[in-house]
Amino acid sequence: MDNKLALLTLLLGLALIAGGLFQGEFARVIEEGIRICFECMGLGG
Amino acid sequence: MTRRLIVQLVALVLANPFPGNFLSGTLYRGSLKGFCVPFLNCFSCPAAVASCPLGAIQNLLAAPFTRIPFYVVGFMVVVGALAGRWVCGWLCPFGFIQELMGRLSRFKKSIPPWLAWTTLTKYLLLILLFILPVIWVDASGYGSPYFCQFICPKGTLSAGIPLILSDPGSYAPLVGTIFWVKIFILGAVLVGSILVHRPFCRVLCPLGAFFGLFNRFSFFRLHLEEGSCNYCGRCEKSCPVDLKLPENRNSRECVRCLSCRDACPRGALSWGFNSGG
Repeated sequence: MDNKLALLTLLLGLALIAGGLFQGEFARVIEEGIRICFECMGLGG
Repeated sequence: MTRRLIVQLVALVLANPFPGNFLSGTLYRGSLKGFCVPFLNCFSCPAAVASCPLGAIQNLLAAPFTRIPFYVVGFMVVVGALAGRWVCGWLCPFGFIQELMGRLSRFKKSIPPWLAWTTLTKYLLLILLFILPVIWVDASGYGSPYFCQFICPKGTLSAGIPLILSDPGSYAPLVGTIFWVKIFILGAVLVGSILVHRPFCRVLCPLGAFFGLFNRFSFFRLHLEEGSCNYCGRCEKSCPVDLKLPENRNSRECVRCLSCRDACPRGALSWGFNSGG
């Protein structure tokens, strides 16, 4: 039972990844990741 | 040197292969930043090669035309389904740093029962992580990665402080109250780690809270061979997060350091794929 739940969860996760990649999320994550994020560091406030 | 310590060191190095960037105060800007690591590793850290899932989720949600971060959440779900909080115990650099601080003292205190509720804080932070960037926005419709901004001590340690030190002329003027609050949180976590095992992971980490939801049914989990267990209590004594063992071996709070398995003289606890326990 637990393993079926794990398998379903794994498939859900893979589907979410595919959906996110399909809408171009990978490029958005790169855009965020390559800038120095002042908010992330608590600077400027 | 234990096997887990070696794995933690390797994960730290693989996730941060550009230490030279600490001197120049620059970031790695290649396409590998599109991938997430399954643990806290600030993408504003000069040495980081990939993105922190928590920062990525919040930044995606904070944009004016919010898109649900399917890819990043899906990645976290896949990791959780495979191994739950194993990444906390074996891969997370900030968990590793807390453990190193913990080595300064052999004496460790448990979280007292009257403070047990504090371990629920991380679940509240997990909920807020998804909600706040969407509803708390400025006049132009932008939210912020509020967990990173106000709390995350890993970002302070590996991004904020190094960048300020690398170019004080540019960054020091940006230091304000929020930064000092974060310095206080970082200091409290590091000092707290000397007295309590992994206080940040147990009380504040939303990523650990997320992965913990999968601990009970993930593919890799702890299995008890009941016939071999004589309930001597050695596993429970060895547990750094004070779980009642072996009953709660797959608790949400377990960071899967596997100390319990190693402590069992009869091999009653095992860790493995599809073990069914």
